[in-house]
Amino acid sequence: MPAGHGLRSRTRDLFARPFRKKGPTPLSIYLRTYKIGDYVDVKVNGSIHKGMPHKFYHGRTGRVWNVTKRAIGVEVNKQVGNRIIRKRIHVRVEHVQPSRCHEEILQRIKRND
Amino acid sequence: MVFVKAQKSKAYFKRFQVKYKRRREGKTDYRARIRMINQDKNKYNTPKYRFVVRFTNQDIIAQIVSASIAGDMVLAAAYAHELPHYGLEVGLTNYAAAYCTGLLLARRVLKTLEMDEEYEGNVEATGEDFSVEPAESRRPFRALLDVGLIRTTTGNRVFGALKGALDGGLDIPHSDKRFAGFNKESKQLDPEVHRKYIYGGHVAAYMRTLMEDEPEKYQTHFSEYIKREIDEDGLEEMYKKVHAAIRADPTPKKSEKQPPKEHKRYNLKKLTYEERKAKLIERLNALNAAAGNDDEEDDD
Repeated sequence: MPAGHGLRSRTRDLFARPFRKKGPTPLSIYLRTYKIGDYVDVKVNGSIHKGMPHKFYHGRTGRVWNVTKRAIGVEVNKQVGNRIIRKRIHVRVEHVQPSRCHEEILQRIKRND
Repeated sequence: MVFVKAQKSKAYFKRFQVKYKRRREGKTDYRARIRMINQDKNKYNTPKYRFVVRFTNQDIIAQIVSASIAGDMVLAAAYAHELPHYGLEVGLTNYAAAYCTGLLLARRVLKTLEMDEEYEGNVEATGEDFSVEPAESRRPFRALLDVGLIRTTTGNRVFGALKGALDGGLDIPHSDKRFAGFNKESKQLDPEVHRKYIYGGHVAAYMRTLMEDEPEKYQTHFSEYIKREIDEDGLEEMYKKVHAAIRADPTPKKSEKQPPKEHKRYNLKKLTYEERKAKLIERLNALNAAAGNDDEEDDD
């Protein structure tokens, strides 16, 4: 029988929870707020099955363009053939972390003010 | 003689994943907590308040709490052990006391938020289902009931506290299915029965049956009531007075506490960084001085 290329194919290790961190997710994930324009990292939490992005977006960083009740809209760059497309995906907050890529610039702004 | 093979090897402990601390203590249901705390992301920093009710063996704790990453922030709290200030001294963990505690918390919160004039709530406690109506200027204070790990059966004291808070003027989404006096067959709340529970009618009925059947047990069980000369007919009057006193002045009273007693220290006090550095310099100087003296003696 052939291998199959379903949505979550080849994600056995990618979406697995880390060693001794299985089970309930910490509550601080749900208490964070995101505003439009923030930079976020997409990192899939395999124990939350709703609102999971496709495995391509795991590890990508993008900007928030939409905020809904339980999910965030993230704009991520994806190379398709010979061009880069800005793709807009919606991801639940459990699969998103605030990105520190922008932190240094924000601190510099604060210092210079 | 133990000839059993050791079950828990080193490998077992290395792979063991502990549950969260409060789960190990059996105090928090994280599945319920996630669902209660989760605020809509498009409401950003708007706090979501929980009306937390917990019962210990001798006390009732009612709090309005909002969650934050640093920890839960308590907006206002009311305890059953404060009820003696309002005239209730016995039966501090029964349904009627739970009602009083819920009422006290609601009035306290509304007073701190300066909404107590607008939202009087239900001043005369009938057992009927009462929900706050929104006034013109501000919307009512909304909180969600947090029961914790209690089994929510009909007539549980938690719902007594809920009724107290509702009558106090808070907006807590609820149904009357679990209030004392709800009839499962007719699927309706009997307000008379609920009103009896709010004013301690069930306690009074028990007092009457005990007085007739087992007077000695009555003496031991209700000794505190007898000491304060509270009889079964005076219960309703007493609770009415307590409700009025709570509505009159719900602010918490500061109690005088003495500074804690000094105890003898049985172990050495830990030194600070500066103290340890200073000690090291002293020791080195002493060593150098001693070495200097030895050198002089050797030279001589």
